[in-house]
Amino acid sequence: MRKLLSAVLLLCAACPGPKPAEEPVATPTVPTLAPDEPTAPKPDAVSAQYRGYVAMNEVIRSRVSTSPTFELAFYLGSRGFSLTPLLGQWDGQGIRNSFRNGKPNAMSFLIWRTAFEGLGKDLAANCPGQPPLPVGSLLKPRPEVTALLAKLCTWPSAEARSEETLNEAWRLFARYDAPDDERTAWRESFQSAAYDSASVEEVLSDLSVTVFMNPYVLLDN
Amino acid sequence: MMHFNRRFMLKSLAAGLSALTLPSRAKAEGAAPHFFLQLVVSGGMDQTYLFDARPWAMTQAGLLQNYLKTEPTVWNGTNDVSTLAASTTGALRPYAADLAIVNGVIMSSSFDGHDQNMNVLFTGNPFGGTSFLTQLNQDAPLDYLRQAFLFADLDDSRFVQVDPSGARELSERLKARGVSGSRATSFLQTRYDKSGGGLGRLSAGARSLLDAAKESARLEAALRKVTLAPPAPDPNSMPGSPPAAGATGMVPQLEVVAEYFRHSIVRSALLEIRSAGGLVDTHDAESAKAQPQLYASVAESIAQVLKYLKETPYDAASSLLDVTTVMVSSEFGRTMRQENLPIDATGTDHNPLCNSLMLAGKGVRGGTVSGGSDQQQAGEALSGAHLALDAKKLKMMGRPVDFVSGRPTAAQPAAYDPAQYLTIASVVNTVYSLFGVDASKYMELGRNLPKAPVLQALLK
Repeated sequence: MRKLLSAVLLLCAACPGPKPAEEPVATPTVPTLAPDEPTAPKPDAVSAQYRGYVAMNEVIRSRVSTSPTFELAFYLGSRGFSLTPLLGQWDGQGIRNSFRNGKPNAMSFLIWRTAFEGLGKDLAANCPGQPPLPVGSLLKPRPEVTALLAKLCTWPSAEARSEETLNEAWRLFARYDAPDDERTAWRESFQSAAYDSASVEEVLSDLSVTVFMNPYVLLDN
Repeated sequence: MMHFNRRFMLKSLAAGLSALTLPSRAKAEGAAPHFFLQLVVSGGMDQTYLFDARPWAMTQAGLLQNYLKTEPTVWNGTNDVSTLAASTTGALRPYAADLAIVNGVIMSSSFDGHDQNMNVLFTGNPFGGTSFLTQLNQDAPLDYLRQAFLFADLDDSRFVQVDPSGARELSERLKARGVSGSRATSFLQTRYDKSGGGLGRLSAGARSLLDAAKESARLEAALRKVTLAPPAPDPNSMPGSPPAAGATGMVPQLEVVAEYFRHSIVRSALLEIRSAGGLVDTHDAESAKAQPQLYASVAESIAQVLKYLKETPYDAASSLLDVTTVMVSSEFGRTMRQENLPIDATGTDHNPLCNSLMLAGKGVRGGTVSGGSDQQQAGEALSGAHLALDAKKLKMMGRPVDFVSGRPTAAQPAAYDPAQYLTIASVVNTVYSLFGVDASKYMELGRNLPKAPVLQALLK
């Protein structure tokens, strides 16, 4: 009986009845920003961090090197692995596991640059006629990279600086991580007068640094 | 005050050419150089074996474990405040005039965990945040050098954690690199600038990269000046591992600190002191029984650091200790005993109501003792504040303090009011005052509470 009464009351609550006097509806106020109020979000709140050492090493392994044991840390010296934690890594145990050191700072920037310069020099050491690295190549380039190097190693020839060759280099190394205007700007920088008299080693070192440290490639996007 | 002696002069000459002839950025700009070195003993240090020890009678009364089984001695401060010191502090006696002992420091009044109290130590917040070390930096490219594993949730980003070998290799590589490559960095900056113009995640990251790239030139120039001797091979060391205590355990780390200070790469350094043969976080009786040896090694390591700082020149006029404020701390103290265990077979647990710290160096009034704690003798009447936070009377608790003289007062507050007590926030704010940190950045006594008062007794 009680259940029946409750059901009736509920139904009646939904029944149309005499309308109560309508109260004026307040117009919602749209908050406006004062002209000098900052509109940008806090940089730390939603900031992309480094992909991290392990992920970037995997990028090199899958795009440049055939060696399954390749490590970028080799280019940082015999204690290179003591520096790689600064490049972003998962650390901690259990619920304390988190991604550490992912926010860029000047030190990690220098370490990344040192590593990618080393990679570029290793690429150059694979050019015909170039002196090998003191410890030999760590890289063992993939066949498509070797084919690309055959053109880039002739720098500053027209073929090496051509749109086709540089686009091929970008596609091999950056893949589709970055939008097209990044590729265009990158290609044009290597076609500029700044690289007219650069050596092959300088070119490949800068090429490696500028592709792999492009924000779309280096950051977890 | 620098101590001119033959060893100091020889070191000046040996290290010298970089130390004496390459002016730091701070000096070049006319600012007085001032650095901060934080030494952390992770795990929670026991007052029984360092400062703020208790009379042997407390052990005889079954209230306090003490596996040293000796009567502590009085350590008199020049400010007429004293403390009891365990015999394991022997290595620190030669530095009594340099050390300011700060007892009865309250960490968190709500949390007993390592991480929450380590967070309180560094951020003032048990849930973590940005460490106070970042506030001390004014002009260096990186905030601090870290060589420590911490149970702390710090969101600092401008620090570097690098072991001596890695630091040496990096500097040598940068020296060998030459100055080419500026084209690449310049180009990258244009891309970071362009990508950083939006509001999304990648734009924020690109802005961080742009800041890093801009700062990297100054950092690289400074790192090129760093000169570190090749480290002795250590087959047992793991990359990034903290130093072991011992005769030379801390020296390689200190060499890096010295060079990074001299070349203004960082303003602060954070080193971990590890006791030889175990951890100070000893909850079981068997581990607790080994504590006398552990604390002797901790004291030796602290003494080694002070010795190094005193004898190592910063420049021609100053030792490193003259230009560095040093703070030694743990995340909390330890309970006097464990519940329901015989006093000769008990370990200790965490006690954030009473911590002891040491400070020394620039701006610090060495030779003093500040603060104090209750439970100094059996049968002592405890305050309502103490009983509210520790009904079982297993813990010592810091006493209310006079912030000018550093003397503990006789007040027995009925309820805990942090404004009356010496909290870690006050110690940090005292360091802030030494570094000229803006008062608006000072740590608060608690959420929505006023700023913690500066401990004037610590200041020269």
